[in-house]
Amino acid sequence: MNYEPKILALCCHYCAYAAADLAGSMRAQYPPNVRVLRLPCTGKVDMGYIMRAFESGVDGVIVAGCLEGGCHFQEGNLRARRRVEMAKNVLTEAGFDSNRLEMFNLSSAEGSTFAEIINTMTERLRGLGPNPLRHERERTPEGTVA
Amino acid sequence: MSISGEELRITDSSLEGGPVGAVMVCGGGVAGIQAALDLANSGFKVYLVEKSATIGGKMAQLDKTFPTGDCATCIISPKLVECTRNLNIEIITQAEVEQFEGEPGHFRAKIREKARFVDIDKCTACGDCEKVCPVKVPDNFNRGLNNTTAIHKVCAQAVPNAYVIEKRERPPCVSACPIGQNAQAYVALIAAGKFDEAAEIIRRDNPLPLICGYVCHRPCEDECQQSRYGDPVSIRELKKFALDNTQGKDTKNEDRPLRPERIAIIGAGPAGLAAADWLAKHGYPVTIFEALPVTGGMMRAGIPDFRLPREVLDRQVANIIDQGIELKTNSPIGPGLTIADLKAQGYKAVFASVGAQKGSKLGAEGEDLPGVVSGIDFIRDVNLGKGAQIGEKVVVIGAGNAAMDVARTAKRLGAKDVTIVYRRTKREMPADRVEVEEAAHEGVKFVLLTNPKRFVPKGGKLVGVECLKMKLSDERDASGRRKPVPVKGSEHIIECDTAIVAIGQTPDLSFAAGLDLATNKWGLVEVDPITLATSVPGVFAGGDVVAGAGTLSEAVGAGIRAAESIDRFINGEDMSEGRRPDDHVWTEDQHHELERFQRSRNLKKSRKVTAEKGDYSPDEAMAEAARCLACGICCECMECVKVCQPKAINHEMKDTVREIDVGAVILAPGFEEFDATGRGEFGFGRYPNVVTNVQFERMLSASGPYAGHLLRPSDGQEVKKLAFIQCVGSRDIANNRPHCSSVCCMAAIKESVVAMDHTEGLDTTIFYTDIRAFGKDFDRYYERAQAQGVKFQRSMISRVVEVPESRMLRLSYVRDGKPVEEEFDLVVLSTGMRTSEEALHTARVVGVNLNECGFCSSGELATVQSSREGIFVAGAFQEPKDIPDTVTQASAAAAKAMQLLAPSRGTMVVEKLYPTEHDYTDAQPRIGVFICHCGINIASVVDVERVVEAAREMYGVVYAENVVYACADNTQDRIKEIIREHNLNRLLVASCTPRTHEALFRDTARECGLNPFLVEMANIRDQCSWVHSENPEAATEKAIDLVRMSVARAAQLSALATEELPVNQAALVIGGGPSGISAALALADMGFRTSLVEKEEALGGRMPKGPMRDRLVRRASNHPLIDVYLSSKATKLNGHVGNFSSIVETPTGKKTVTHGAMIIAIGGTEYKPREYLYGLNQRVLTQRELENKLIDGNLPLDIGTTIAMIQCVGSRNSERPFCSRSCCAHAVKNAIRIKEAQPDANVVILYRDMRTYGASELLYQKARQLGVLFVRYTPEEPPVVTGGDRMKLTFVEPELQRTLELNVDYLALSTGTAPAVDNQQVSELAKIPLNEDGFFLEAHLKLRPVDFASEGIFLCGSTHSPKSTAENIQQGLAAAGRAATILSKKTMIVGGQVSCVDIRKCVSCLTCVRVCPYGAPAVNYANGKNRVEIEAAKCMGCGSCAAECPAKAIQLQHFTDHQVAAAIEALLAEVC
Repeated sequence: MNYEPKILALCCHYCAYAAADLAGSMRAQYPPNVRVLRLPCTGKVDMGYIMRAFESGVDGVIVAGCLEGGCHFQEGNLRARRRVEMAKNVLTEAGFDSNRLEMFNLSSAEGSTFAEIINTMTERLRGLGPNPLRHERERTPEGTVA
Repeated sequence: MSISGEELRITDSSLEGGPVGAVMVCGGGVAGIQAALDLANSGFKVYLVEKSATIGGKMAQLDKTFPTGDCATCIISPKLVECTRNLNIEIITQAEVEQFEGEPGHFRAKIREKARFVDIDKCTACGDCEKVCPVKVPDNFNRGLNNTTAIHKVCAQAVPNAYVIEKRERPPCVSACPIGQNAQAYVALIAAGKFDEAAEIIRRDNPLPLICGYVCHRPCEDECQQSRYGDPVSIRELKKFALDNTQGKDTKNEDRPLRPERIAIIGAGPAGLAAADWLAKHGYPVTIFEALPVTGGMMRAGIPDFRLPREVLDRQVANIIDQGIELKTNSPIGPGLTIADLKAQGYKAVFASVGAQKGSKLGAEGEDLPGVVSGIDFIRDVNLGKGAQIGEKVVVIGAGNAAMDVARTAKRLGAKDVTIVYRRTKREMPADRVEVEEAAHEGVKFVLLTNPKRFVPKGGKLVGVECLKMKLSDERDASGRRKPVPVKGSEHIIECDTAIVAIGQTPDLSFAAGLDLATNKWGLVEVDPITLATSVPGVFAGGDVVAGAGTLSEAVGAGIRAAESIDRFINGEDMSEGRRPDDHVWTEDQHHELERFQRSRNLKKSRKVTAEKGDYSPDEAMAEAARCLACGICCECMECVKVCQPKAINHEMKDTVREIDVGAVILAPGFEEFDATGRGEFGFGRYPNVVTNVQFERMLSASGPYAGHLLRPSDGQEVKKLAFIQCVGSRDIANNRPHCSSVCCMAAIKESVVAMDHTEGLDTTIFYTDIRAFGKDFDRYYERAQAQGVKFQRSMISRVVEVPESRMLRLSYVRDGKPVEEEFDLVVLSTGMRTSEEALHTARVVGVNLNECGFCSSGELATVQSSREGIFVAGAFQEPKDIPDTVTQASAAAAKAMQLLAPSRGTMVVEKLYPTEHDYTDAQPRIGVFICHCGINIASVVDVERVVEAAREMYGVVYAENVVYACADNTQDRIKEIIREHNLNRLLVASCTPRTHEALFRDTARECGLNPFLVEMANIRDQCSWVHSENPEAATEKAIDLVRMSVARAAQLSALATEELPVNQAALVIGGGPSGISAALALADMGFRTSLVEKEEALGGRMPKGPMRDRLVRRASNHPLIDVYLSSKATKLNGHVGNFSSIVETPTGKKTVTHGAMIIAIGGTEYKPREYLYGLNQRVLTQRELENKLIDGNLPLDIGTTIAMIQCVGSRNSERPFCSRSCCAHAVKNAIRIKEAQPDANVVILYRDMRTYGASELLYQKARQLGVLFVRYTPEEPPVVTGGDRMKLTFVEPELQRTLELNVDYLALSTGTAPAVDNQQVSELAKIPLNEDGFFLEAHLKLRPVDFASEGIFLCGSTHSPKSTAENIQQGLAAAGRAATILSKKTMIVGGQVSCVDIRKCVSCLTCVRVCPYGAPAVNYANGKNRVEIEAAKCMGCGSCAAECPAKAIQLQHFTDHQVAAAIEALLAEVC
């Protein structure tokens, strides 16, 4: 049972990424499973990014943006939420557990919330086991994803 | 030609003699920041002078903001960072203005910047220092809800992002110590469990530390401030504990410089040993000449062994002597071997510390009798084992420590009866309290207020002492004690066979044989009090030979002081320079100041910890040490210096004073909250569960002391019932705070709503007088709060009572006519605003007047103008106000400064020039990777070497190395060198967060010709080493992953071109009311041609008649730079920021106006009432009609004339659910006019909430004093008016629930403001949004109140929301100030991180047009293909359009799908 999930977090520059930094300043400890990718706004999160991540074998994807109503670009986070919901539907239809994907809203003052989110998602993904696609890739070392 | 990396000063010499193109902004809160940014972005140099160590002000302390619920930190942080990055804003923290002089355009200010003790440029904010700091002090940012350390960052998001050390002056305990022992430091270290470090501090300054631990007379404890609340901290016990529990380090200093000059020390007592120790440590060969066969002086001869174990004494003396000191015992200096002889032997200096060996005489008859001995002789004989004769009945005369020692020794030698005779009372005894107690404990008797007169002999032997009774007179002696005087005829004899006189000692001066040594009348050697030099050059003296019978620590202190003098003497230096005499007594002022500081901490009585078994155990010692109040805050233990790797800490840093020349000043020092202890009845400071609103904000904050959990401070239990008490320190005449603080109602509503989000089922009640929800969208927020279950109780709470067991807080009030008692977990006091002491000081120095509420006086309509020309005011310092009003006023103040300094725009600013960029378009990636250790912040967790190794293997990486601090200056130079040497075309830095450091590395890249968009960062500190410190292996793997992702992205990055477009430096203002005219005038005065379009046939809008209106209209009509278009309308708008083109339809035809910015100021309209017989009865007027009649004298006012007013007509109803803001003050002003014209007229105002916010509350109070009646009504039961000339007004008084009738002569209706009818048309014209009430919707309600999301378009006046004339004018100025940030530039830069359309893919589906909040994408009908193009000047770079585009025709540059995908795929690359 050495499986440790690898999680991609797509964070908006203004709130979620700043909250992740604050978690650092506060020395909040959370599992080292997450890799943060900074975007200007969650409004930039394309369905394609989420799908690409799962295809390449990432076990879970977090989309984290500003609080609703607090988006620095008006409604980017609301659009992101709609896209995440859509992506969840697509994942389900493809036979994937859509719980591997989740969107969160938090403010830049919420360092401990960020740590909590990572805790929750890591726990959840430990429970869900590895991304089946990753499993396949590991079996065929030459395998590449189209 | 450009100069690499050099700052270029642009100075137009033709403007010499014009005003100074710089502005001093006092206050770094949201007002100061806004003003600074506006000015700096318009070509002015700004000095931002802030009193604290961070900018951000009060807003940075807030959790959320109303009515939007934005996180305050989220929205203010980017502004703070922007301030630090602006080359033309110089932030001066911890600063105050000391002197100020000059005239508008030419001021000179002297600024004192307090020492920070941390070098901002070197500090990396890693926090290592904080971890080792032993001093815990209340965290002021969290208003004392938790503790912080003496070295700290003000808050997590502090800007500048650097630590600061808080210091007060030397604490009293340290000042009191003759040795200068840093008691606070070692006590703090003991409290932190750092015993070794504590002992090190003790040993560093004290050559005889353990002896002091046993017998020091503890002057430190006498001064300990804890004694004000209970027992002083047991400092001496703690010192002994630290020394007993640690091993002494070898004090030999191998590195000391060896000196050839020999020094002679006479006497091996404490002073001599201390001097010898100091000199030996400084490399001098030292010889000690001691007359006795033993060392230690009085420590051995004068102190009994039961107080100082001989083993301790021997060990301590040996420690000193073992440093290579030559010791000559049995070597008295005197006629046999004189000081002159010593000098002849080659000794360069002599320190005489011979002590005071002769007992002082009483001078009484019979003192020579056998059986009468001196205390010093007696004790010396005992201690040196010479044996001493003692009788059965002993009288000891004197009450010092020596007398106690003598008495106790006599008792121990077998005397049956020992009596101490003292002429004063126990209170005046000089002996240590403990010594007295112990003597009494051993059976020593005390006969007080008794003075010996003579010794009585019988048969040549002593049989008694004849004494006189004494009493204390009111006269004081030199020591300040009451003088004892004899009682006549009170002679009596105390029988005894031995009498010991222990009243003091005098020195034996035989050592000075042959020297012409000055002495005083007491036979003591005279010395310079600072240097301890005697009248003979090269001879120094100290200890008892100078002081008489002094204390051990005084002697040690003198020894050290003399040694330092000797060193300077030998080096030929000034012996006094920089030294002070022993001024260790604190002044009254110092004590007072410290007491004030301590009072703010709300201290409780504290008893000392007693050791269970003789000496302290570690736990006991830590508990006792924790009682220290840290009077000096920083204790200078230097622990932080030890751990600071970038060497940023310097405890020697001094204040700096500088002079700056500025043309204008903006005062924005903000406010302080009212000190809630001023309303003692609410129990703040006594009841832990009573908190202020600022504390409550911190409690709610996720980054606050409770991490956002709503807990009771008393026991950490969850809060279930919460109450707010409004108007604490506002609307409070008794406390001299008559004003309304304007924000507390909304703040309390917001805090209630947010609190309910935190705790499910929270019961919240707000106790209030009026709910003043007068701002934009406020009433709607108020209603929503009511709907969510926040209870609003109109009631004045008179006091808060704590229930002792449960610590619940009981409030009594009247609800529905019945008295109610209710208990709450937590009571929040909504404290009002007042001006801080620092702001008052600044106001005094710069010479501006204050008003009766202590705020800055300003013009009635010119709200940003202070009483001194050239000095403007913004924010709560002018009048309490919320954030949007503050930001507005700041931009308005900036605009006024720009008007004044217009000729000097651009003369003081700097611009950075960079070398030409290399073109790497087709080059293969050559990535350079720098992995930062951040001292040990990253390297202690992440295996940096391994990350470097891994990076070297990654695709495109041609260079990788690790650096200690990536951000350090020398590393920047190294990075540049490597970029050039290896011809790198991508730079990757793996260190901390790009949010703070990307700009720095981009700058470095640009300095060597690399496009800034070719820089990438990996955050391996904040998001890796700091959060995975417990798992170094996984953290290292993660760091490698993060670097791999960044490398993959870096390989895909492209250089992005930016374009420079010309700016049309002209403005268009639509609307010629007060706000539009003010905006146009401000812009024209700044030198920008302005077109002012007004649809009516005259300017002035709804501005009240009067000279001010006339003046504004006249100035605008005649201004050479203003083109006024009357009876005109703007009908078409094209272009973008910097280059707009509008069609204006004028009576003479269509005109095309081009402009770079545009201001919408079309005002509002007055609601025309349909209710209350308006229009049907001539005597029913609007408030404005009434005002005009009053001004013109057209209203007959007789005795008994009754005028009623009804508020909220057409406001706060379902049709217009907002407050019209200005009507309450308007009604009150008219009521006062009536009462002043005819005091016997009756005025009745029917209202719902009186919303006379800020200073207009004073008008409300005045109206009531004049007899105006205020009666409340509810919207459910509105007043009814009937009748003709004499109308009948019927209304229901809600408290009494009674229907009242009133006959009235005139009825005035306070009608609301409705949105202008043209709003819809202008909204469509400029593609700018309206809110649901029909007013324009600004870019951001809080921080961008006059901007639109679309760049280059601004708004002001009642078209934004209803407001008063003064506020309209102010907002007009603000819009001008904001527009100037665009118009002041000849060109603007566009491009970079913006979206681009691939027109081959675009199908013109218009998805992007709908998505973009900024109107950047538009179909270009001119390109022949009718495809969408994105205007780079309008694009804000969020990428929403790119994500939504169904054809994937749009890419956000710098975040293209390729770049993002590369990073995502690299995440798991290692499994491939």
